[in-house]
Amino acid sequence: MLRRSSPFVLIASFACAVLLGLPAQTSQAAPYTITSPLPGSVSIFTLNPYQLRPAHDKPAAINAVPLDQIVVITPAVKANIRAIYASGLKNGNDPRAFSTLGDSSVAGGLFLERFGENDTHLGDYTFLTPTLQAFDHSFKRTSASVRIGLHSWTALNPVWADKKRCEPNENGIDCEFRLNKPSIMFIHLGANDTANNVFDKNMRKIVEHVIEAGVVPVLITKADGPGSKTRANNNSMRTIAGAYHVPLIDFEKLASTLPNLGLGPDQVHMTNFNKVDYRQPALFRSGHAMHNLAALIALDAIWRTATTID
Amino acid sequence: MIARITLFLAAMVMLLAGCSTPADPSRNVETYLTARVNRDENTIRRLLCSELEPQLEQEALTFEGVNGAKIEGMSCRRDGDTDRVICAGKVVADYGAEQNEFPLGVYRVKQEDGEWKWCGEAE
Repeated sequence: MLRRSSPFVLIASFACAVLLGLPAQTSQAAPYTITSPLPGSVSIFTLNPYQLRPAHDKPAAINAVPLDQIVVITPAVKANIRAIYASGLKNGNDPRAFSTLGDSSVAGGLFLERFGENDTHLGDYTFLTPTLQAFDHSFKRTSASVRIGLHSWTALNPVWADKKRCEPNENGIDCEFRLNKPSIMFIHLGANDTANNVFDKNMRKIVEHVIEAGVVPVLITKADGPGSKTRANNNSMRTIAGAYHVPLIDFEKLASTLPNLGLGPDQVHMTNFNKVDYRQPALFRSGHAMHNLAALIALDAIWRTATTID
Repeated sequence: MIARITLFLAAMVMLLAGCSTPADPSRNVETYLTARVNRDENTIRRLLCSELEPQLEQEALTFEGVNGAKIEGMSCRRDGDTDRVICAGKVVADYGAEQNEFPLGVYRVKQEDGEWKWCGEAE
């Protein structure tokens, strides 16, 4: 919910946009009041001119799946992104930091860290370059909240935290928050959680915990190979994203366009790719390459949403 | 005479054993850590300190869904006469072809109801 502080803001905003040659709807240089739906978290902050970014032409789909079906950000989600983001900034979160939470599907430097490599090419997705640059630090670090074999019910358990980086009694999520101060967290869990009712209950706890810290949770569905015992978890992810008004990357839809759903021989882990070069058609057949691209598009959309107004 | 001496020694051993158990919390910590690996919720409940009771379910699920969790080389000792117990060793667990290791560490203990209880990791 946004409320203009003065009619002068509109004129100033328009003048600024004209001077900079940018669309007026993305421009503002005066304070706005952000009213949060979260209890007791009303915040006032200024969006500076350096945050103004022009709109770009961008592909409307990946592998013929419309982007708005892959990255689901409804108007209600947009409002909540702004509210959570604002409360996070108030708590000292870094507006240009994101973190990841997940299991072996995103471990080993295969998720988003790939964009931290030298000589990356985005192909038709060069509109994502400012986002790549803005979050540069996060692409080049390893999250403390990613661990092989992690479950929804162990993500908040200090036993599963990295003892070399985390403090006693600190769970991996809080440890990652302390180390990175993110404003956005990508959550990829569910491949190990065979009890859907326990998964659902614990995912809600995680989402609430992340929102409470002023971090925007981004839920991700997974590809499910034949015989998967965790198929129901994707529906939980969709339901929880809708219930809490948080962004969803419905990767399962994109995976359905990939050979063998983008999965390797074990039907759980995704197929990898060599160079981060989205000019190469091979990447549009790789599980990890498409997973990464969808996440980067989501990061861009969330960042734009958080730093602009409709 | 020999029978009397044997009886006396046996009584002394039992007495000493009875005296030393409550003073040394390391045994209970080892029992707790073993119960957590074995998902033995009754023992976890018995040896978890009261302030951590809200975390009972989380503690019981620590190694749920993980195959072949076992403790290797566990050896715990009390840190002087403090409320800390230092443990060496690790929990090793498999998940498919993936292996996870969880090093044992330093734990806080608390005496409640005449028994030493496990009370989380020590700061």
